[in-house]
Amino acid sequence: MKITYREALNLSLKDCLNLHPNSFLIGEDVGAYGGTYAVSKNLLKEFGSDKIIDAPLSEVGFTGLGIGAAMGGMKPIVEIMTINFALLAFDQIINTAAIVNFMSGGQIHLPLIIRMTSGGGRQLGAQHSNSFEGWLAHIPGLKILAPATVEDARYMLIYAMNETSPVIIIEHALLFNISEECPDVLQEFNPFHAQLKNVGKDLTLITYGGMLPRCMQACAEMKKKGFEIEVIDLRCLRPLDNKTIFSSVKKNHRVLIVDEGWRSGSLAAEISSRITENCFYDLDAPVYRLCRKEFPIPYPRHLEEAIIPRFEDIVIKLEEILK
Amino acid sequence: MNYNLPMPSLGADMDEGKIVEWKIKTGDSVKKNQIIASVETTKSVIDIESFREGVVMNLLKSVGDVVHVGETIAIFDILGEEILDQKEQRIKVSPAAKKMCEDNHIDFKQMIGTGKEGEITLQDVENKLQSTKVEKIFSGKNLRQAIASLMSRSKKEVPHYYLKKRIHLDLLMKWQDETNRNVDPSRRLLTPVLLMKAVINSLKKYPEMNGIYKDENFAFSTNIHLGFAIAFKEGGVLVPAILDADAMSILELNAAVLDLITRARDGHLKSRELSEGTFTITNIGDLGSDEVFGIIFPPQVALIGIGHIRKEPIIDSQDLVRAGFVVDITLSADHRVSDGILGAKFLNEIDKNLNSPSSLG
Repeated sequence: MKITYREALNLSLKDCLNLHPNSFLIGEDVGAYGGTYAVSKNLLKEFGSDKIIDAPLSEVGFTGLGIGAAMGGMKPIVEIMTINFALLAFDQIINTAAIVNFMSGGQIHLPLIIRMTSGGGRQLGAQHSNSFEGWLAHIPGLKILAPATVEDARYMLIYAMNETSPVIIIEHALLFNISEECPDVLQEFNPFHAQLKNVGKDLTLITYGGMLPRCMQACAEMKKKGFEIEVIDLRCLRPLDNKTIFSSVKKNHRVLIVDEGWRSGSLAAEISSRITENCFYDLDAPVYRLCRKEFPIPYPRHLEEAIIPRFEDIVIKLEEILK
Repeated sequence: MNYNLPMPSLGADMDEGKIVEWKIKTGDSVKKNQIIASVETTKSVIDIESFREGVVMNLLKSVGDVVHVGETIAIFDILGEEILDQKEQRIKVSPAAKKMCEDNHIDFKQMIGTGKEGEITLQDVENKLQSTKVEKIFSGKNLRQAIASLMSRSKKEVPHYYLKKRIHLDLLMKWQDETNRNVDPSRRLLTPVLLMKAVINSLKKYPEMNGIYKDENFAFSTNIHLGFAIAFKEGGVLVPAILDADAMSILELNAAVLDLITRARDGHLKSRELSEGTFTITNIGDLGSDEVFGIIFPPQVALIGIGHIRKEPIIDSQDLVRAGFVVDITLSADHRVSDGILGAKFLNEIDKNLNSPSSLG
């Protein structure tokens, strides 16, 4: 059956709230309003205000509340409206959630989920369009998931609920309306493994999140031109699935990484480094990156489009590498 | 710092050159690309340029000396310039290509890269491996055997007929001189290339000569893959083809011929070039024979032989005898596919092309 990414997240939340008696959802506008992206629509009615909690505009406060609840044996799902506002909660996330297990000598576990929306492309201006997931992927003690498909939106959260350490789920602002087939039951599912979305032999294209649909489109375009591009959806940004990345690179010898974050110090830079360190003698060309241009995101549509890698940019870059 | 100026190689088949004229003398300051001497090769007299700036310290060879390629002919004093090619230059090679070279015992220093920055890529190594295979098949004893069986088969199976036509070349030679004047030596048009171009143009009009005879049927080829015989010093001859020669201008053809000769002698031919020829030209003229009746290269169906270009007495339209350039062009053709009448028309067409050189294209 085809459902949207938004519906998949909604179903996923319902499953989790039903499966785990001590779980609850907290965030800005998650209750009465039904979520800024309508992900938690009708959940307040179904689960009541003990499980669906509208928080005040205080990211640092309700993220800290989530951490405390998890320490105390609850299974909280914290929704931060966007990754831009999560900056306020970085102290809680990085300086408490990520390290409490280390600092307590392994005594305290933190089964905490934090969901947030990332990415630009919706004309929301410079302060609402960032892609900071690469920063979060820098932090030991966190696991970072980035669902780019309806299937992952449907099932990643459910699997993440079994973790005993904090998991951050990065949803993408441009994906909420995509509609795809979604299986009712999964045979094999591991949210921490990267997936080959297309098998090819000429180049390995590594991406995640909101860039995946564009990369798939570019892959189809390159097929018309006679090139077979292998597309990897990272899915998990920390820990990175080295095995899948390296085996593809060793097979195809050429790499492009498409990352919505800024180029300097990006997740793409980390992946590029790992490839160079581990696959150097299998490379037939430098490891190339296509990233967001290093500007704050402008408001006008045409300028915003010029900053974030477009389908056309990916095709041009691929042609350049494969020429 | 001293720099030893070697006799340059002015073509892949050049072993030695005769110094015809020095254009510099001891004490001269020489600029880059300045013409420093004229050298006679088996083909023609060519001006050679300096690739370095410096002051001439000594001319080691005199006019009339025959010098082997690579032998020092002059010594320059190069002021303050690092001599790169006497040190080992760093060669760009992709890590994967380097590993593949090691695995296959290939010395990448002998290769030319085709990557964006001139780096050697996996593709280059794969091509090299491919051509090495070809080289192995077509070398020494194997080559002799291949020629023996192919030529025997041709004479056994193909009913050849032969025609010969003498073509006046005064117009062509004049046009060539004018065209080549003030042109960089590397881009000058070679006479055999002009003859090839005339043949290509004529083949377009007479497609019965261009194709393959297989299973008792003749198949036209829409493209002209022009094979030409290249002889080796150590004996034997190969007939690689210029692929899609019909789509080339004279300049492109000129470059393609030089490239193919170089690669044939270095053993860098591609297998397609050896298997997909649709017509062959053999040029025996530079060795002085006036005419050659070649054996058709199966499964092709025709071959043009080019003899020695020379001056002969010519009777002009006023019945006066004068000296003029001529060449004897021969056609060997497969009687199963074409008849003598067609062959004669084909030779006339070549004649027509060679006598309107400016429209060779």
